[in-house]
Amino acid sequence: MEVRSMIWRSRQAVLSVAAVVVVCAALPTSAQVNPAAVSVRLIVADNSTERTQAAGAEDVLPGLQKTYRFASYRLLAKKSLRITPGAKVALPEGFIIRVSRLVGDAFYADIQSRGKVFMRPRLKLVPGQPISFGGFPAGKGGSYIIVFSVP
Amino acid sequence: MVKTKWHNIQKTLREQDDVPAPQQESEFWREFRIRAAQPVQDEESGPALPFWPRVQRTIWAAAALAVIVSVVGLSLRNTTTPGSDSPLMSEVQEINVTVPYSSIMVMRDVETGATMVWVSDPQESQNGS
Repeated sequence: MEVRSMIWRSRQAVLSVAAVVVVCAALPTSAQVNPAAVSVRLIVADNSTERTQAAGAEDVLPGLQKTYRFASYRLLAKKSLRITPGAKVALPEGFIIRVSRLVGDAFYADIQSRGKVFMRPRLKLVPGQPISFGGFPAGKGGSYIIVFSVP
Repeated sequence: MVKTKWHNIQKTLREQDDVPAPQQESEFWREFRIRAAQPVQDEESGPALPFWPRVQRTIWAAAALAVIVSVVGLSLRNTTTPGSDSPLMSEVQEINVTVPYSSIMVMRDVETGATMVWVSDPQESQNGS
């Protein structure tokens, strides 16, 4: 009888631990795949002598500096974009970012310049893994870079 | 081998024929019921589980089922789709560039987890050139 009681209590303990583990594992997963809003940043990269301004872009600058050969990176704007169809944000230099459609846990982001859609990527974002789009001419060999990330 | 004559056997049997008279029917059933009411000695006859442990057992069975369903659900949800490296990675699933360009590169920095897309020589610039 005593052995049966011990087995029963052990089984209860194992099930309790398993339940907690499953709940903890499920919470961050559900938060990661469907953000309510994303951060949109506009960075200008060029070979000017201006110092790189890392404030507000610490999470993306190492990757950009390792990949591209610009001497200077400066954050021009940082906005929050709601992930709902039709939501949009205006950035400096005439850029507008608009959410055109949701597909599962991804969304289409229209990158507009001067009223015309320049690029329409379909993005799925998870925290800590930003996605940047570069190549928009900024004059003097520079480029604008638009960074999407989950805040 | 000892041989015994048949009539001696019959005689012996008659002498020992003191078989008790058959039991009365009512007496038989009375004894039967008394014996039937006694606990069976061969089986482990513990007391029945009280109410609360039975409820606990049901709750734990339900919890175990919930855990199994959650694990299966999570594993199905985390199943990678073709073309993606991991279910928990930022992805550029599609790119439509509406202006002429020479090339497009998609790079991924494994250390930081950042994805970088570079469009080379887009024909329509900010300045309209």
